Order: sequence, then C-alpha cells, then structure tokens
Amino acid sequence: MTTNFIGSDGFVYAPGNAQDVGKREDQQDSFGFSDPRDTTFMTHGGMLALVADGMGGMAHGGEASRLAVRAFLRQYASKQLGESIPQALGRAVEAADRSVVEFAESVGLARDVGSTLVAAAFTPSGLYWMSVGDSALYLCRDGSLTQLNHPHTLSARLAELVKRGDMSPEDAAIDPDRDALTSYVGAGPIAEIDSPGEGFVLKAGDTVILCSDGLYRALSHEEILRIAIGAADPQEAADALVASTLARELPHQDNVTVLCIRVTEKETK
Amino acid sequence: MAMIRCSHGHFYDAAKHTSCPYCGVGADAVEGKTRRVPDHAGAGAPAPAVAAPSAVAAAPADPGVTRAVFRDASSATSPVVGWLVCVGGPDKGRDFRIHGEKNFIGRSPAMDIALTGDDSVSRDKHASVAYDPRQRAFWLLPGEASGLVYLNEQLVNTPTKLTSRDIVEVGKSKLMFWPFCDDKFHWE
Repeated sequence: MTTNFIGSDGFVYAPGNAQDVGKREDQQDSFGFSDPRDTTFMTHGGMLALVADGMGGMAHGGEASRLAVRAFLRQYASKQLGESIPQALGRAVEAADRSVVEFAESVGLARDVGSTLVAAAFTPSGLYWMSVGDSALYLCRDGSLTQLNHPHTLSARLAELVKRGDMSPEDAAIDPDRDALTSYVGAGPIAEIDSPGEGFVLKAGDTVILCSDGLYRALSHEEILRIAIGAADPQEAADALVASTLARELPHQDNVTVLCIRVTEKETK
Repeated sequence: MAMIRCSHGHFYDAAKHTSCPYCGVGADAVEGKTRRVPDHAGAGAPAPAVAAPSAVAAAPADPGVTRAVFRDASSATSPVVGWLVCVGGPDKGRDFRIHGEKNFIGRSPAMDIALTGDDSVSRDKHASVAYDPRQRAFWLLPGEASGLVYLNEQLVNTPTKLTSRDIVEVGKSKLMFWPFCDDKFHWE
C-alpha cells in the first residue's frame, strides 16, 4: 500500500515518522498525519503533519498532546473548499486548545497541563504552518537547514532585551528559565501563534522536518542536516535522527519525535 | 517497506508490527482523571526572571509518577461506513464521517462527530451512531449526557434504526444521515 501523499501541485510528499521515550518515564509527545487516501481533500487542504509535546504530571502531558493532535487533525479535516488554509489551521488550533483546556479542567489542573503544537500543511498553494511553543519546523534545502517557525520560549524574549541593550548576552545565556514556554495550547486563549498568511513555496528535493525539542537539544543543526539528507528515504531519515539522538546517551534525554517529509516531482508518463 | 497509516495518523511498517507501535502506549489515566496530583496545587512553577505573564516552566520529569491504567488504543484503520451532513445549526454545511462501531456525538473536539460550534450540544456523548457490520445496519443511540436526541422529530429513548436521509437532531444541529455501507457494498 502506498503511503505517499499525491499533491495536486505536481509534487509527491513522502512521509516518515519515528519516536522514542528517551530517559523519561512516559511518552508525552504525540504526532499524526492526515489521511493520504482522501485525494479530494488533498486538492484544497493538502497533507497535514503535526507534532505536539505535552507537559503536566502523571500521564496528563501525554493525554494533553494526544487530545491536541486528535482535535487538530479532526478539525482540519473538516475544512471546506472555500475556507483558506490559515483559517482552517486557526480553527484547528483553537479546537486543540479547547480540547486540552477541557481535559485540564476535568482533572482539576487548569493551566498546569498543556502542549506545544507544530502543524505543517503541504498544500497546492505552498507550505503553511501553525506553531505554538517550542517544537520545531525545519527546511532542508540545498545543503542547509533553516528553522521556519518562531519558537515561543523565554529565550526569544531575552534575545530582544539583549538587542535593545537592556540585558547582557551573558546574563541571557545563563537565565535558568530561558527554555520556559511563553505560549502553549491548553491555557485558554493562546498567548502567541506563529502562522504565516501566505504559503511558503516548496521545491523538489526539499525535506521538511517537524520535531519535539528532544531532537534539537541533543543534536546540532549541522548533525540534523547531515543525517536527514544522508538517508535514502524519509522514514530512514526519521529513524536515523531518533537513533542518533539516543546514541548521545544524554542523562536526561527528553521524549523525541521526528517527522520527515520529502518533496519530489510527480512522475509523468 | 509496507508502511501503513493507523487510525490515529501514524505510519508504521506492517511487516515489523502487527499493530501501531506508537498507539500502544496510550495512557488514559482512568484513576488520574478525578484526582489532583499530590503537592501540585501549591507548588507552582518558579517565576521567570523576566516578566512573562503566560510563561510556564516545561514539565520536569517526575520520577514518582503514579502509574495509570493503560488502554490498548485501537490501531486498526477504520474505513468510512457513512456520513452525517449538518443541514441546520452553527455547523451547517459540514460533513462528518461515520466509522465502524460506535461514533460519539458531542461538542468536544475529542468526540467522533464534534459539533464544536453548537453550544447547546452536550460536551461529551450527547448521542451516538453505531454501525453493526454483521447486519450492515446503522443505529442511533441516546447519550449519557443530559441533552436529548431526536430522530425525524421523535424523541429517541432506545436504540433506533437509521435509514437514508433520516434527520438526527441534537441541540440546535440537524444532521442528515447518509449510509455508505449497505446490502450492496460493505468492507471485507
């Protein structure tokens, strides 16, 4: 059975995914792809891929990220032909947020349970994304790796303070809360969302990576790039990225989730 | 490599795994759902050095984690067997897929048929639609929530058989039923 997503834009999107619990007790990351068999939906909604990294004690973080992914996939799948991609992504992230808020309230942990979320829609009008938190969206193109989304961590705000001259780079670098999230789903109204209004134009040969922070806290951008483009196919790339992360044997290795999507030209007869 | 997609959107190698390896750890935290985490309420995250009203610390690993009851999440791909099309109410124009077995209707996005725009629909399990593959029949069942469900304007108190173009009414939403599987076609 083929698992490639056949775009109506002349591209084929080949997916790969891999995940490991790392050194944690439980898996709090979740991920998902839309259904490649729905070719009618592909003509306007494209292919959706997303990663969510939950936070919260017991199994709550894992349940939060699972609910977020499920709600997001479901809402995006209800996109109608006339609805724009950013509108559909906006509706989906709101549904994910509501889903996690309701779950958090049901376990008496309102605002203490949440999830990051990075979703990428590969559509005929380009690549769109919807990002909340610090999960990453990378583009591997022409031998370089670029992060497309803007992470919502305190370090980004500290960098602004450094730029304005209100904080020294040294103080910013050692701030103990620099990795704390400034936005996440599950907090009611979402504080910050990164979602472009227009599609980013992809080209054949591109590889797009979505991941939780367990990947980029273990591997450098150079290593991620080398492993991703060295693999024969996107599934091998995702497996190799997770294997290389675990090979680091970091004492507190976080959950790691990697989705790779390779863009190729559709074969014409 | 024979990669297949499970019902939760994960790809896995069917030659290596009999079911989705990424769904197998689906914790439902049955007990945890009604309990607070001990010592959590008063603990709180340390305040960040720079004012950031919505900043929260990333969840630290909790070695003393309470193990929950684990659920074997269904990993089989569940093909569509019919549809409900919203013909009235806030979600008018949207269609919802019906899959095998029970499909819960509610306002929560976690529901199978999520009428997220209709505040008058109960959040969880307002009603459900079940497909019986043996009889190739569809049934409408009342839910566990307080909201009522109507079939062609008649109150549904017990499982009631659905036929094509029936109108299911929950809250302000009217849903037209449209079967895909019937005596002429069904999934093997």
